[in-house]
Amino acid sequence: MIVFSARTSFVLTLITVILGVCVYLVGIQQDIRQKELARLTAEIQSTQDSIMVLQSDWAYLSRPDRILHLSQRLLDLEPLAKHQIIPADKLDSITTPDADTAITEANLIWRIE
Amino acid sequence: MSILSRFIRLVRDMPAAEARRVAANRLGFVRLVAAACFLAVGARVLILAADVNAEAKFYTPTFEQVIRGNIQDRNGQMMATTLPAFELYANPREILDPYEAAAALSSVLTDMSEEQIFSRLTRKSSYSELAWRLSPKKYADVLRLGIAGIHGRRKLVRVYPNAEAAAHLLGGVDKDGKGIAGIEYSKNEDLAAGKDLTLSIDLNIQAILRQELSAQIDLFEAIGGAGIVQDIETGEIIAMVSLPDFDANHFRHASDNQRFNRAATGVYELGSTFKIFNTAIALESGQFQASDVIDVVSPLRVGRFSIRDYHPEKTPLNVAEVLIVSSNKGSARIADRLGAEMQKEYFEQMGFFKAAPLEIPEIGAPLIPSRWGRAEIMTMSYGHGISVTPVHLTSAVATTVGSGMVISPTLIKRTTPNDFDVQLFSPDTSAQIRAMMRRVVSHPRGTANFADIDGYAVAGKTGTSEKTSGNGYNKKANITSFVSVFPAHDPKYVVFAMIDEPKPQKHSFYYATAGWVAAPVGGRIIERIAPMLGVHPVDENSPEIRRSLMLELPELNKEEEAKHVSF
Repeated sequence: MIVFSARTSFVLTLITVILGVCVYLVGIQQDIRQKELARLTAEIQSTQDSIMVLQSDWAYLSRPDRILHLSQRLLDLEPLAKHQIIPADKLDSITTPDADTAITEANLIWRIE
Repeated sequence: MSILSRFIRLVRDMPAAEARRVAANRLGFVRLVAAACFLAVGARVLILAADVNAEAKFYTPTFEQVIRGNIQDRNGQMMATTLPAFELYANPREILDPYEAAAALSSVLTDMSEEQIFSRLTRKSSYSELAWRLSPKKYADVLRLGIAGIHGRRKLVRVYPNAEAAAHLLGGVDKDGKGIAGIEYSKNEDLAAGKDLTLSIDLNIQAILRQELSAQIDLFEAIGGAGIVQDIETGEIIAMVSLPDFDANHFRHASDNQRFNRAATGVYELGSTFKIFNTAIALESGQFQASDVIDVVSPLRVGRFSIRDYHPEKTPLNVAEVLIVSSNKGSARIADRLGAEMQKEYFEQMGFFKAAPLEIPEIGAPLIPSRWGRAEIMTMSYGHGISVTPVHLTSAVATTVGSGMVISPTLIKRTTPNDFDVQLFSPDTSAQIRAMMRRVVSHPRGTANFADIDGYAVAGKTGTSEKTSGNGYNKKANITSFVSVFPAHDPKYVVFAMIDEPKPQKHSFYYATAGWVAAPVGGRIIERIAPMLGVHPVDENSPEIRRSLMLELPELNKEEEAKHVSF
């Protein structure tokens, strides 16, 4: 029969205690992290919800027929006509405005407004 | 016992000295096993404490479900997305006063009457659905009523912000969010796994196409219509509309007529638009030149059929003129000389023998004749006796007037260069066809003058055909269509417009042919979409464009000159 000496018994007991403490600490930590995880999951979910809602809101508000309707009602703009589109290389063929109608800075600002 | 005793000798049967030794060994063994178990548990604890990552194996965050992928158009505009909502249900056994509860609920659930709610609250079951998708706000309103026995469950629902636009392509999902039609069905696996999908559709173009077709349908009291805009180079469908349509958010409530996709499911005899292909085959075969003269004057009979022209001609015309004035007789004579084998081979290559390879389940299979006799060849040359979907037509036109390569249509945005590798028509044939189609629109004798939009060099072909009913044709019910490409000298897009059963109107001088119904709407569509698609207006009288669209038209020009002299 092997009988443990007092020293061996002490060491074994010590190991057992250390292991016990470790298990306890791991348990506590896991609890904390699980709570954190639950919080994060909820946060992600609500952010995801907001993204979904905002995305579809944007898509709904920017749908082409609505934009067209609004632009016809509120903007003083017409679709581009053929004569308003000129290729860059034809630009020099446009007659230069004479002094009276020259685009002055004030004139330009007025036009942009 | 006897078997066991053969292997394990009992200690009490041994001599004292040996018994002590054996017992000590056995005890030692038990101790070792116990120590090993203890160490294993201890080691695992130490590993867990040391290795943070090991945690992941024990707890994985689980969301309620994977969010279904979004569907967006080619510019990233959302077409189908997912929203959080609530399913509302009652447990009638927990409801204390169904009268009071129904009265209170009817103030929030406006889709249902108080009686309907009451009947649901008194159902003999522990589950009774009240609403399958309720917005979070309405759900909060219901909760605020504080009625016992009313429960909610969070769920994700599919929404289509553009409602009717592209409803036929998107399709729909069932209550569990599973695709049941359209792209939602055919790409269900990817979407369910959370993958986003980018279509080839441009919602802005789609909206214009829908608006213009819808206006023309109203103007001509037609029963429906269809339209397609397709990229000639890539085969991508930029817009596809079928009218009447439905709100994709209420797929379940749409009628069969609304759900029917006239652009991809419906097969029609598209009439004279097929003359484009007949002429292209004739030129490509080498048997005909554009200037070859065809007899369109003498009567043409095949079997018991007599082939007639809408406008009978008094002089023979050349191949180009046959297409421009849309002579059935001329097309039939050309097809007759080319023969069945050639027509069959080209039609097959152009995809007329099988359903178009679109990414939706609702695609119509063409109806082709079972035998290719002389009468069939001749009538098919002008689009009768063969039924295809509008997608077949636009893809074949893209093939004919584009690079001559066989184009396959798609609803998914193409990101890689196309691998079209079958050269069906030579660039020279394509160029000649483009010049002829341009004259259909620009020449006074052409049938599509209403589509001649200044600056965009529209080239096209009209087609008017009677709808089949029973064994024959219904003279009162026409399919009018106009297929066009622009700009003629370097085509970028195919535009197709079809109006189903237009009625003659006073404003159209009681005409209801394609030239009066479909061509104008085609022109208006091009006028509006060209600047958006980056196609700039050109000077059609510039020498380069004139040269690329040159054509000899002796008879037609003679007629025009004669007309001017007489005035």
